[in-house]
Amino acid sequence: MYVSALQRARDFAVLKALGSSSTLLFCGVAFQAVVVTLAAAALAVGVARILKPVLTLPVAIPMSAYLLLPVTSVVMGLLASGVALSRAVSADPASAFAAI
Amino acid sequence: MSQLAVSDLTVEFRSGGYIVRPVNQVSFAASDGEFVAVLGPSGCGKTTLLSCIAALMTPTAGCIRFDATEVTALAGRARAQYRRHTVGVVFQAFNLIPSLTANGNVVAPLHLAGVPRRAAAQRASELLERVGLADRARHRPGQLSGGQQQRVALARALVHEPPLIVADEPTAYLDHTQVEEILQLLHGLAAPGRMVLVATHDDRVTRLADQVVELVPRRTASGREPEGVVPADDLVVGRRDMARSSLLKEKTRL
Ligand SMILES: Nc1ncnc2c1ncn2[C@@H]1O[C@H](COP(=O)(O)OP(=O)(O)OP(=O)(O)O)[C@@H](O)[C@H]1O
Ligand SMILES: [Mg+2]
Repeated sequence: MYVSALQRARDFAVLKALGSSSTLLFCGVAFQAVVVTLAAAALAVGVARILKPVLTLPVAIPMSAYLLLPVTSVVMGLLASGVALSRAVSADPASAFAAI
Repeated sequence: MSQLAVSDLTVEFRSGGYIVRPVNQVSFAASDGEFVAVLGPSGCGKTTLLSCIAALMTPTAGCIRFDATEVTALAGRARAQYRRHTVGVVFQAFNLIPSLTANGNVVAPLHLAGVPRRAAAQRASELLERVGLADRARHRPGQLSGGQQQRVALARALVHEPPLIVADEPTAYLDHTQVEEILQLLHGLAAPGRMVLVATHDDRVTRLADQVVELVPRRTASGREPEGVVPADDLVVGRRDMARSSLLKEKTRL
């Protein structure tokens, strides 16, 4: 989705003035947060797999960790984008007319 | 043939214990194909009036109708649909999304409306060509001049071919030659199937207008009325010929 600039209240206001609903913007930001954090989780799993045989220390990674990671990261991602989410919902489309 | 009717529109803001009433019982009508200038000094409520017409703000009293739609009564999904399909907005400060290219900015509202990627990109390039920017499609707003950014904004406003274009001081941040370009484009859009409303202080806009809706602060109204124009409370409405003659009179007086 297009809402890559999470802090841009004005962009949200403009998108609403162009006919985007709060729900649509909320989903856009949430989707983005989930994609970004899932990508991070996937990267972490990949790195762990590569490093495990390389490290001489005995590192035990339980299977449950691999399962839990994406879940926690999605939750963290949504929490972290809470500010952007609330801005997306509360942006006042009339403020788009205000000069910069 | 679409018709816009604004009747007895009043907007009040509460600010710091006072009630400000920038729009006071304004009424006017505009029809399909018209180029309407909304004129008045700073702070007289032009932006507020346009915000109500674009359904970005709900007035305190009064009614706006566009054809069979009572704009002031729209809520929720119907309101979003009206903003998306019936009105195209153009802002003074262009308000493009800085991280997207010219093409991306025009594609964005199409995507939000669920138009498939390929069709949206195709439509965006047609529109950019229509505003003379086919060769700038991959540039970001920061790499474009003010006039070019405003042309992208015009293309974006046109994505759903809305029957109503609302522009708030679209030329305020532009230099002389760019003003002409944008005005020609906007004026060309006022054709059968579409009407264009422009808020402005600029007489270059007024000269092109089929109708001038003048918002005048109440206290100065009586002193400033040109002959032949009837004040309706805060509002002075003049048709094209009237506006022309009164402008001419003012000029000869000077
Ligand atoms: N959200 C708001 N809260 C309180 N007052 C407001 C608000 N928006 C506008 N006003 C006031 O309403 C009046 C009209 O504002 P508006 O922006 O519509 O004027 P304008 O004609 O567009 O002026 P300009 O030519 O400077 O753009 C101003 O006095 C302004 O301070
Ligand atoms: Mg204004």
